Amino acid sequence: MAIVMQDIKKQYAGTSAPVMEHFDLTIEEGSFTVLLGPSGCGKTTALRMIAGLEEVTGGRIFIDENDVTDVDPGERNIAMVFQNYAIYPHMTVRGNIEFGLKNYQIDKEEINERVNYVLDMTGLSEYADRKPSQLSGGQRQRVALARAISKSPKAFLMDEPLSNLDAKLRIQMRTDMIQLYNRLKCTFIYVTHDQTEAMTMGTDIVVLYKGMIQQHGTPQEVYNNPSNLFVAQFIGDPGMNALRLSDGGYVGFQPRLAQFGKSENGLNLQGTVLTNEFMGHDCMITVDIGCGSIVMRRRETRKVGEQVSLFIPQENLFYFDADQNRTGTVQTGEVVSVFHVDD
Amino acid sequence: MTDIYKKSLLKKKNPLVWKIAECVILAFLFILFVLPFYYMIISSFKSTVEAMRNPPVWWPAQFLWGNFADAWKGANFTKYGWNSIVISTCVVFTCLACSVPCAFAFGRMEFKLKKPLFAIILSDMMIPVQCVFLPLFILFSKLGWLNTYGSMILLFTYSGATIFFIRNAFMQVNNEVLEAARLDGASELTVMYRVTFPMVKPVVVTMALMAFLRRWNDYFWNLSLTTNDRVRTLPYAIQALNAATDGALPRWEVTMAGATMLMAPMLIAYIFANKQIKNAFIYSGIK
Ligand SMILES: Nc1ncnc2c1ncn2[C@@H]1O[C@H](COP(=O)(O)OP(=O)(O)OP(=O)(O)O)[C@@H](O)[C@H]1O
Ligand SMILES: [Mg+2]
Repeated sequence: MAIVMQDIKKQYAGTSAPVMEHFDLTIEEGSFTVLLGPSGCGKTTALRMIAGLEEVTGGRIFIDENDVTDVDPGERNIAMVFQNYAIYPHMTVRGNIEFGLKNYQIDKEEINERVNYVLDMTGLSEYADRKPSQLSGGQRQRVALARAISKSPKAFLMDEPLSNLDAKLRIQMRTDMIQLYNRLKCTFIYVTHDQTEAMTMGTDIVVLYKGMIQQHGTPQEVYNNPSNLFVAQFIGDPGMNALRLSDGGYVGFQPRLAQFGKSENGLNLQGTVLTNEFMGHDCMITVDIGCGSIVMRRRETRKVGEQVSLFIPQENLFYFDADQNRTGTVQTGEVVSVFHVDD
Repeated sequence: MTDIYKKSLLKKKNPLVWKIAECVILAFLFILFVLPFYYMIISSFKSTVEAMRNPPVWWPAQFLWGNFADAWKGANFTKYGWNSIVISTCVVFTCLACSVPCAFAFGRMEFKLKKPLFAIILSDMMIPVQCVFLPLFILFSKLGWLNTYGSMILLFTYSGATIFFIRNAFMQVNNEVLEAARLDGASELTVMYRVTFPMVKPVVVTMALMAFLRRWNDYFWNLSLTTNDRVRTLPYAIQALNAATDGALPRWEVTMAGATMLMAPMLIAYIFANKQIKNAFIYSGIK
């Protein structure tokens, strides 16, 4: 089922500027689409408009070719998993799952069948009669998932569902979520600002910034082929280094592809090592190149304060024009400064 | 770096003097609040002479249980007590049935004129009852509702304070939970009664108790809106006990026994609902 947002405008009451305008997004049926972007870019807003929890100021939303712009949330055939779980605190785990089913006047036997099925699927069977206050954070999130699954929705909407869990549990749940997706094969729309989550789980990534779609593609496309400087710097761990050139363009490179030494064929830089952070597999090294500092990730280390030469092979350089859009044309000029999109 | 950064922010433990002062103050407050109750209850057992004696008697020579029987008969507890129970119980139900949806609307829904309407409800809490007594009397009298259960119940069905407190509780309910319910296909009515309402139960229980208490103890309105004693309630009857005499002496012990019996149900209810009430005050952000 495709979900289409068409020329959406959203302005919150009492604010002076719209959060988004002329927003067009098509989410393919059966995709695991991740809305990714920094805080405040409008991810939650977009998701809530799809869910019907937030009214659109202009434009239309279609689910499966049906115009649902004015349809109640409960009638859109979608399920949502919230960041804070949002399970009903006074109902048992079973009660939480049953609640939604009862509202749709399904007969008792089917309710039971569905509840038992999802309890089993999420490994919650033995907790069925517990109250949420007697569950751990991870288990609560499972209840929220179970509740969503039980309705056999056309699409799952999730707003940072893992952000309240500790690091280990988050990785575990990430795997579970991927398995769930593979099993259900329905549309997932997942909001996060964590690009590792986006990269590992998504089949499609929509990078948002300031209420605008910067790029919509597979994780590989977004990582290897960023369409503008924002995406290049937002994606990656850390993102690309960018240097502003005297002719107006920009040149960028990934921290992993900068090497120590000199080369005829590539961009040569020189500087002083500022910090050297050990990351396990490799080191994150910050180098002051005079007009700012750049980051590289290498297995070999350098001492803090050491003078280093480094280069980036020509084939690993990315060029951006004066509007910060990706271009195939080699940009020329002297390096003026190190550049970051967000400042 | 100066020494100030090395100083711990934790204060030294209170010395013994403070501990003792604390206990003395608490004991004083305890006595201040409990003494009147004690005196009322113990006086119910006294003889007529003991009840009148000065300095006061703190422990009667003999416990006269008969005072309660006298009070029961003298105040016609069977009749007035029934009135009290009927009216107070009905008020609890009508008051909550009106206040909960109203509070939900003000706490969780958007509509035109929400603010001015709510201001009217709030301002009602600031108007002394005596100001509206006359218009209400005329209103009920024209409706032919004087001396009826209906007027007694209707009058206390509306309570600005109840709406206010339940609204505050509703406002504290996490919005995501309500949204989840709407996504679960629940109607607004289901959201209110099945999801939000159970989450604010302590507040509702407390408000129910307070609605009951207001009616149970009410003397002013009960007397104002009645011209005969058909629907008059216990506070009126206890008041009438003052007239009871033993020859020349007023029988205070009977009045006290009546007052004790009037208060007993509330005390018991409070003891049972104690925890809920505490929760309610924590919940509504008062404590
Ligand atoms: N109810 C609201 N009223 C007014 N402005 C709002 C409201 N909700 C969000 N906004 C504004 O809209 C913008 C987008 O908010 P949104 O919650 O969609 O961001 P987000 O991408 O989900 O961010 P985060 O990663 O921090 O959750 C923000 O600038 C925010 O201040
Ligand atoms: Mg958000």
